[in-house]
Amino acid sequence: MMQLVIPGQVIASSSIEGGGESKDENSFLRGHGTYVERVESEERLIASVCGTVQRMNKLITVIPFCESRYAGNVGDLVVGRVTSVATSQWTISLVSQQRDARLPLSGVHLPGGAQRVRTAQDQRDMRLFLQEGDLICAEVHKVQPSDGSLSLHTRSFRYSKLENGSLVQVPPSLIPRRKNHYMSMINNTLDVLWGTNGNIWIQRKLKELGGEEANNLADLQEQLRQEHASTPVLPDERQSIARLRNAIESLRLVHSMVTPEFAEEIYNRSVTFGLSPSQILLPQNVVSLTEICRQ
Amino acid sequence: MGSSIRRTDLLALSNLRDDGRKPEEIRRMRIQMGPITSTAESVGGSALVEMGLTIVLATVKGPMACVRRSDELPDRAIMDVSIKATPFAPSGDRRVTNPNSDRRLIEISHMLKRALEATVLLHLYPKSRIEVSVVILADDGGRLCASINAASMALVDSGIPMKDLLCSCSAGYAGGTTDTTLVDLNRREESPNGGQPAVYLPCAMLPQRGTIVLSQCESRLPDFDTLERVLDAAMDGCRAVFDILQAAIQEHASKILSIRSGNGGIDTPFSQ
Repeated sequence: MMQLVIPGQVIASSSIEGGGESKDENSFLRGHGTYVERVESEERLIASVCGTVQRMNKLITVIPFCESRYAGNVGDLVVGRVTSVATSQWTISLVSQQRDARLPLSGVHLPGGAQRVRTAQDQRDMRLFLQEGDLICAEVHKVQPSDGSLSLHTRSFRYSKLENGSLVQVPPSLIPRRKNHYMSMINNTLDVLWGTNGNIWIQRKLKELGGEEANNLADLQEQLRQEHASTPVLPDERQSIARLRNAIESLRLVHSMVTPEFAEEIYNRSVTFGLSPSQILLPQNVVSLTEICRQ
Repeated sequence: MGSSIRRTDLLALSNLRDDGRKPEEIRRMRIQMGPITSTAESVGGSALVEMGLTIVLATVKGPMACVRRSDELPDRAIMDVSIKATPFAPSGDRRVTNPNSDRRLIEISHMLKRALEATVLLHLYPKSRIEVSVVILADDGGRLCASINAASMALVDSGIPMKDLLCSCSAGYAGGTTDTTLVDLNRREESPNGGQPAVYLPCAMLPQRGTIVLSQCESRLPDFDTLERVLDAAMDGCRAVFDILQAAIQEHASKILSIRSGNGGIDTPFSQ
């Protein structure tokens, strides 16, 4: 049974005997969305956000309804936009109206695969690499313990500047964490990046790189990316990108979890129904298409 | 001949106020949660609160980085509160005011800030800033109370942790003619030149723990008992407001749940 709480509502209380740790069966562990307050000889667990209560043994958490905030974890794949170029770092906007993340110059892969100390020349050339307004995908490298701000890095051939594709934005809480956030979809015709910060990037499939050229993988990937960026997207590729984009958008409209499985299912259903990509977002179609994604 | 008895006299005879309310009755409240968060780009929280004819819209952004490094606090977030009034919202006795420099708006924004700082769990977001902006769309008295309620609902909508659901209501004392305390005063009742002797006391409280976080009284009171009486009436008003806010949250939550489970229709505006 789902229990809805509002801020300030007491979820559980346990007595404290003699100031020591409570041993009775009512004791609890404080989870997210709650705070503890001592009233006389009682310890109360009170909700601090509006949401549903989840109990896991003694741990009590409140899952908020409409959490728009994104708190990063180390290792998350994120898709963000460069907002400014500062001395030896870029600032990246991950979620609008929230603290920007930083991408230090030491966190990017220099062209040519050089492993060396960044020089003043590198600092001057930062704009050649990433400019304001560029879209990138990166990994969360560190969460600053003092204020929760994020440092990113792109030191892998998978992380790069994003061009020639489509961006969809959904609330970060709708994206579940999974093993792989970088996947090929729709019969391996599209590459999709599920950024945990709610930004989803769709582009056409890039060629797979074999194992034999593994020593200069990064350079090959860079070449491939530039080739992709300079070739125009064909009309039917555009159609399928738009269809997937609208499938994801329709999931957002019904507050459903945005997973690759659901998105692909809606994509296929819209093809079966004979809908054009733009027709997916008509209200009656959203309702019928997203039927399978509901609990 | 019928004109010899005025409407106001009739209301006074039947112990009702100018707008037909009983003394301890609050105005009709309507609440809309998340009116401007339907697009993915503008994440954050918002709420539209109507108290009678007073309409207030609040939006919440953040927690985000401070504009100036010197504003940052090492152990908690700062609240950045601004209250603006639209030109078409009548603001009482004075006609046209500049929304950026109106002293009374700045004053109530400071009071709103104090009340919110006592409510939001600021220590969870050190070195950050939470921005609350309130726009008064129509003003029929009690704009501080409406602003506090709207800001509180917008914070709930954005999912920022709070100690309690902040509720606000005003109370007044019509000392000249009767002994009855009035709850949730409208503009006519709170303005001194409207004929009423105004004892006007806006109050904000955390209803589930019963603590007052704001109360303000600028009028002269005859004795302590009067203050106690008016404050009690205001707290009762706050509790009535709390019930309405709670019901609005329940309704909002059940709507989201029903859309998620497929029983409700979608009312999101479409881009096409």
